[in-house]
Order: sequence, then C-alpha cells, then structure tokens
Amino acid sequence: MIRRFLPLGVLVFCALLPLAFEQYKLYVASLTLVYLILAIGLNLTLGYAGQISLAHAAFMALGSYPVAILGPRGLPFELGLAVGVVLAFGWGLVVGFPALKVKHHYLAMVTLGFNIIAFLVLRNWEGLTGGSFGISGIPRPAWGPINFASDRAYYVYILGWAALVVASAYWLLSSRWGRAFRAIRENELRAAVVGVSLRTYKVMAFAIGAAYAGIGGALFAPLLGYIDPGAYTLDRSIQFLMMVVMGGLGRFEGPFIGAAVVTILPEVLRASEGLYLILYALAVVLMMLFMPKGLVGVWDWLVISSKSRI
Amino acid sequence: MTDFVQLLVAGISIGSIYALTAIGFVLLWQTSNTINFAQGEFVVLPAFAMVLFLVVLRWPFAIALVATILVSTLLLGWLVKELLVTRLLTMGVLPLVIATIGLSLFIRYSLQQFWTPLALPFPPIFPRVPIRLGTIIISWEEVMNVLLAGLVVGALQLFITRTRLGWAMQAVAQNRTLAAVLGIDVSRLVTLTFVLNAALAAVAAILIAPVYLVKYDIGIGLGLKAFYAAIIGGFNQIRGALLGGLLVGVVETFSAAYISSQFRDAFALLILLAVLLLKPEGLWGVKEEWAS
Amino acid sequence: MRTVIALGVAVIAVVAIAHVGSTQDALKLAIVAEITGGGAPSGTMWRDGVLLAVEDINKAGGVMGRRLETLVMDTQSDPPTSVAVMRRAINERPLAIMGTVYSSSTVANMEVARQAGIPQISGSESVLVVQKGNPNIFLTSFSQQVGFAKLVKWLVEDLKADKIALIYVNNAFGRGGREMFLKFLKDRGKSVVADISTEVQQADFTPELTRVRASGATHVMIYNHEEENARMMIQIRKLGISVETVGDNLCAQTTIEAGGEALNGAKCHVPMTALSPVPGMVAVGRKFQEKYGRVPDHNAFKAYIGTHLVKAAAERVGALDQAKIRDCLHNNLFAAAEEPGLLMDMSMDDKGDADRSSCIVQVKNRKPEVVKVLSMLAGPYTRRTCR
Repeated sequence: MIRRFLPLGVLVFCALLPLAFEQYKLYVASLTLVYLILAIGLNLTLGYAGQISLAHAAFMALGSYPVAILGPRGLPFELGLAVGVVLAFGWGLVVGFPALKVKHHYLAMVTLGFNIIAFLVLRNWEGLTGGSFGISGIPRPAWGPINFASDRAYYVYILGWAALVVASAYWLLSSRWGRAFRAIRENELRAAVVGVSLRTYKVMAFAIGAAYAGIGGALFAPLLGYIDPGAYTLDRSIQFLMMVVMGGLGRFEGPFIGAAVVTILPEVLRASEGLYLILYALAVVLMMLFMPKGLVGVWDWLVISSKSRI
Repeated sequence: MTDFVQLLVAGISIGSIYALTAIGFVLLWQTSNTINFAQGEFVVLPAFAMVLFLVVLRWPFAIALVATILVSTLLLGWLVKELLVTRLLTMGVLPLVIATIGLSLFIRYSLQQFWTPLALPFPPIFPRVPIRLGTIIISWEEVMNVLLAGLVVGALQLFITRTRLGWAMQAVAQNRTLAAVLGIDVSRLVTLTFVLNAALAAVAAILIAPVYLVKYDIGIGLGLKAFYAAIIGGFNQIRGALLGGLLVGVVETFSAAYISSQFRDAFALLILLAVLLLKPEGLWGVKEEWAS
Repeated sequence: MRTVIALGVAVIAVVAIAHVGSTQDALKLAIVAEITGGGAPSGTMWRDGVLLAVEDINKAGGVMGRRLETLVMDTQSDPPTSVAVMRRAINERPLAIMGTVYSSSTVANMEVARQAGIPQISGSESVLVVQKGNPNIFLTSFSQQVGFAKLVKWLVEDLKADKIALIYVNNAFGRGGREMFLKFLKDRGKSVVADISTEVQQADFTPELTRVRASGATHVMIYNHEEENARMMIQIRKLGISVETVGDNLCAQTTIEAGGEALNGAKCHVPMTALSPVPGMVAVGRKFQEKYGRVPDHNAFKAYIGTHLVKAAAERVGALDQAKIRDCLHNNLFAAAEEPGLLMDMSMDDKGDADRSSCIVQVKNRKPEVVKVLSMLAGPYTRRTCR
C-alpha cells in the first residue's frame, strides 16, 4: 500500500516543502517548477515521439513575450498566457511540418535554425520586444482582490499550473496519443503499416510540446519580472535537452528528475566558488557514461512501482 | 569592385577555417555516428596549448607546433575516444550528444578557471605586412588560411582514396557491420578518425588564433558554424564540408556587408534551412543510406 | 528496505539543502558579479577591486570600527541566474551589494535588491540602469548618459571630427551607448556616416570595416566589448584602413593587453586608468598589481571606489542604517579629501548616476597616456550632511 503511493507522496511533499523556505530557495523551487513544465513538453516531443527539437527555448519565448508585453499594459496575466500558448502551438505546427521531411540530426539543425532566427527577430524587433533592452516591470497575476505578487503566493500559482500540466500530460500519454507517439518512436515504418497517421501525430508532438513550453515561458516572465532575448538562446534549448536526456527520455518521471538536477545541482555545488561549473560539467559527462538511460534508473531502483509504466 | 574582392577574400579565408573544423566533424559522424558538440572546444584547447608552448615556454615554432598536435591528438583524439565514445557508441545518438555537451562545458570552464577568462594575444605566424594588389589589400593570413586548408584537404582526400587505411575508413563510414565482417578493426579505425579530427582541429587553431585571439569561449561560434558548413555542404563528403565551409564564410561576410549586420547570423541559417528542406543530404552530398 | 533508503536520502537531502546559505553576524559586503561566462574579464576585475578595497579599509580600522567581510557570488553572466544569486546574497543580510557589472543582469536583479532595501553599488554603465526609476541602485562610474556627453563634446570640439562612423555591439550595453552617442551628436547638429552593429564574441570584422571604409569616415567610434575591440583594431591595421579610432573602453587595459601593438594610436575618453595623473589612482594601481600580478582595468577601479563610497556614506550618516545611507548617496558630493579611497571627487544624482572628472588618453607604446583631464560634466555640486 505504502509502496504504491510513495512516488505520489514524495511528489506532494516536495511540492509543499518550499513554502517553508526563504526567498532564495523559494525562487529556485519556482524556477525548477517552470523548467519542469518545459521539460515535460520536450519529453513529449523528443522522449515519446522521438522528434529531436532544439527549438524549445524559442517556444518558451513565444509564451513569455505576450505576457511581458500585455502585462505592463494592465491586461490580465491569463490573457497573455493564452496568447502565448496559441502562438507557441501555432509555431509548433509550423516547425512540425519540416519534421515530416527530415530526421534525426537534420531535424536537430532545422529546429536549431528556428531557435536562432527567433532569437534574432526578438533581439532586433525593438519596437515590439524592446530588443536587447528587454522588458521589465512584468506584473504577477491577480484575480481581483487576490494577488499573487508575493513570492510564496506566486509559487503556489506556478504549482497550480504545474499540476495541471502534469495531469494533462499523464492523461495524454495514457491515451491513444501516447501509444501512437511511442509507436512512432520505436519504428516509424511499422507504425505507418499498422495505420498510425504519421503526419498528424508527428506534427502534433511538436505542437503540444511547444504549447507546454508556452505555458512555462508565460510563467517564467513574472518570476523574474524582467526578460530579454538572452534568456532564449540556443544555450537554453540545449539546457532543456540536457534535462530531458539526463532525467530519462520517454519516461514520465524523467522531466521531474532532470529539471531538479539541472536547476538545483549547480546551486548546491555553488559552495565551491569557481569550480562548480567544472564539477557540473564533469557530473554531466559521468552521468551519461554510467547512466545513459537517465537518472530515472536510480528512481526505479528506489521505488518499486506496481503500476504499469507509461 | 575593390570592396567586392576584399570581401570575397575575407569570406573564403574565414570559410577555410570553418571548413577545417567541419571536415573533422563530418569524419566523426561518418565513422562513429558521433555528433561532436565539443568540436569548437577541440579547436580552443590546441590554441591554448600553442600559447603555452610558444609564448610561455618560448619553444621554437616548429617544436611548439609538433607538441601542440601531439597533445591535441592524444587528449582529444585518443583519450576522448577511449573514455567516452567506446562506451556510449552502442547507446544511441543522444547520450553521446549530451556527453559531448558536457565535455565542451568542461573544457571551456576549466580553461577559464585555471588559466584565464581574458583573451590572450597570439604572436602572428605570418608577416603582418599587407599585400597590396592595386587598391585591394590582402593579408598574408588570409592567403595562408586558404592555401593551408586546401593543402590539408587535398592530403586528406589522397589519404582516403589512395591508401588502404583510407579505404578501410570509407568502408566503416558506409556500413560498420559489414566492415567488421570484412575483417576491418572498426574500433581502431574510429580511434584513427578521432585522432585525425584532433589534428585538423589543431591546424585550425593555429590559423585562427592570431585573428580570434585565444579565449576560452571562441569555440562556441566556431562549432556552430562547423555544423552549418557540414550540413550545407553534405554530411557525408569531405568535399562537401570544404565547400560548405567556404559557402558559409562567404555568405556571412557578404550579407553582413551588403544587407544587414544585425541579422548577419541569419543568412547562413536561411541557406541551411533551405538546404535541409530541399536537399537534406547537402548541396554536394550523396543521399545517405541508412547503415548499421 | 529500499523505501527506508529512499526516505533516508530524502531527509539527508532536505537537511543539506536547508543548510546551504546559513547566516552569520558580521558586517558583510556581498559581491555579486560575473565570475564565469562572457562577462568574466569584467566581473573578476570588479571582484578583485572590492577585495583590495576591503583589505585597505580593514587595515585602516574598518567601517566605523567594524571589520568588513565579503562573500563572492557568481552570476555566470546570465540575468536569470543573477536574480537567483541576488536573492541568495540577500539572505546573508549584507550591508550593501557590490555588483553586477553586466547591464542586462543589473536591470534584472536590481529590483530584487530594491525590494530587500539593500543598497546596490553597480559597475554597469548602460543608461538603461538609471532610467528605470530604481532609488536603490548606484553606479560607480558615470553612465553612458554622462560619459557620452563628455565624449561627444571632446570628439566634436577637440578632434574636430567631421565624418564619424559608429560601430557598436548589439546588446543592452552597446545599444545604450549608441542611443546616447547619436543623441548628443544630434544636439550638435551632426549625424554619423555609418551606423554598424556587431555581435558579442564576433571574430571577423571585415564586412563592417569594409563598410566603414566605403563610407569615407575620418573617425570611427568603436564601442564593443574589450576583446572584440582588440580584434577589430588588429583587423583595422591588417586591412590598412586609415581612420582615426576613438572610443571609451577601446583603450581599456584588457583591450590593450589583448590587442597589443594594434591599439597604438587609439584615442579614448576613459573614466579612469592606472596611468592617470591622480596619485591615488597610481598608488592603488601599484597595490593591485602587487597583490594580483596584473594591471587593474576600469572595472577594478570602479569596484575599489564603490566600496569606499559605501564607507563614506555610512560615516557621513553616522550609522549603519541602509535607508539613511541610500538617502545620503542621492544628490550628494563625495570628495576625495574626505575619503581618500574615492581617489577622485564624485557626485551622485537622484537616479544613481555618477559624475566625476575623467581623462582623454592616447595609446602609445601599448600604454594609455593621459593627454587631457576633463572636469565633471555638470556642477558645482554641494555637499550635504546626512545626519
């Protein structure tokens, strides 16, 4: 009985714990949740559907900028988020189409190109995005008298969205969508023969993953209160790739572990002054050498789950 | 007209450096399915080594050069292959990709932390006297970049097409399983490819160091351009990588001068995207057969 | 069994994380700077400047009798990381925050410092930082708004520059400078013949320099980051382009060290240099070199001065009250006679922008020789007591 609910219990505990923290740890926890949402999106596209995407930061930007532009003008946060998600989903579809023609490292390059061009547009379109000067004073959501401006309140808000994203991803992956994605990842030819409409599912894998990235991006903007194009470069996309692979590709628990490790590990190592980045890089290499399937292997060893894995 | 020629020379010169970096990258992919995200850093490390031998220890140029190539091939060729690639090769592409990302971060931050975050000046190898042809001013560096790159590529091409080892490499590139069945020591050949890549990177390092200055972060942009060059030119032909590199260099230079310097990174990218969508095997590439 | 191990690990992890960043009771300065990443050259100089200043201050008896302690935190030159780091620094309840240098990071993290009410002394120069209405941020060197006013004045009046080309780096720092440069030129009825942007970490500048040559410019204002400036100067000499090169950080120590001979002949308006005629600066420069084995650049001096500024304000107030210190810093004049560690008189306006005398230098034999000393842009300023 305890074993079955242990994963859920740990999750709830981890989710509520940061409320006891002070602002720095609370900030890191909030950031981890945002990155979790983004990692879940990428895990969908890459881990489950097998489509390599280095464009994830660009989709994140598509979520952040509407919030950043509309928020200071007094429009509700949720409106900005909705616009962002629609934009991200739309562009996910656009990027998804070339995905039909190319594979693997070629697809990686297409998505990489998209990310870089998106960054350049963001940086040079000063009239809309503020260019390199960025946009500051991004307000946090408020529902009439209820205000999420304080760090703790905003953490709860982000947590709410994260829970929604996790639940929807769980539902999606347990449905026929999930089975279709996995079929495509394993063997495209076989999937097509069996009747899986490759076109639809491949494109949707990008679009849905991008939509999640949009949600994450929208929540990211008020967390810092200031964004500039530098947050959405190729480096950021690579960071998400690392989260998903190190966590465990195509495993539901993967993004949780990946987001936590990539966000929290450098902070924990910070005590070693200048060395911590070197240690982090070393840790990445070692993790790949000894756990190429991701850290989810450790999780599996610790937790015997009688539920079927999705 | 003066400007046009000037820009063309500059574009080809920088393109040759991209080409050198791209060729090794392509070789690695062909023989071992490694997408080396650390390729840029493979150039930065020998650049620092050269500074160590030439400037700090004050060894004569020829000896410093040999030492640099030795260090590069040992560390970035043999060691990387033995420690990383051998283990991860069987795990699929992504773990190796992440491992090379980790490696690139490790090299970059180690150099920054243990040596210096500042750019180190590099003594010019070729005379700094400009060559004047009418109104056009060319530097020795630009000329030598193109010549040396061409020489290296020519030598490489000869090696691959005219020697037994080269043929073995081609066989491995086309079909690893079959090559093994035919009795080729695939593992040793992959090591050879890594060693070759490291040597090429060392040559590129010596050419760019006087211009780029030696700094821990010059690998980032360089590695990226090498990717573009490899894809645009053709991931499975050395000739493709060379021409791809030159094309990227020229497009970059001309678009920054004549169109917009704000979007200078975008034009090579647009060509990349066009190539990927219309002719994914690259402009000079051959359609890839899905091998083992 | 496994569940026990899992719970054990979780408990240990929580306890470990909870202990990260424990507080102590001492007079602290938090150095929040770019120790790694693209801004490392500037950030490490800044850090070393603060550390030297703290050493000197402690030797002279500390701030109102109390020793200063420092902690160094790395922002990785990344604005979101700098926000996280700033929050962590605030947990330590420092007297003041020293940093950041990168303007885009400062804009992001200065809001956090403001909310915590801890005065922030920054090395940024972008005009953006003082345009946000943040009463908690204080620059250690005049922003581009003041600096470029002086620079353009010198360029037009002294150098009588006619056809001016501008090359700048396309980020918050460079664009801020461009905005100010064009504005002050326009005020004098002038404009540039070429307006060219470059990228951070760019290595080849042939296209940009070709455009400069095609524009027929007599003077080119070069405003990239230090290493890119060095590369550009090397290429200008290589291409044999005959043009007068002027700038700001073009003549910085880091630029000259990287570019070597190619920098000879460059003329700049600099806020401070180790070779300035101010004896205090020369002395500090020498101390820095003895301690760290390298020549300090302007970021190191800014940091040194900034640390002493905190001391001066605290002493003028007579208490370690952060709100009063902040208040004291606004619209006030701080003289070097009163606090030698300031090296030169400086005034601070109500937006946190500084004004100070500066130098025109020309690089000769790889050294920035002072050609002229410029006084403060505005003034005269009055000294307010703060009690």
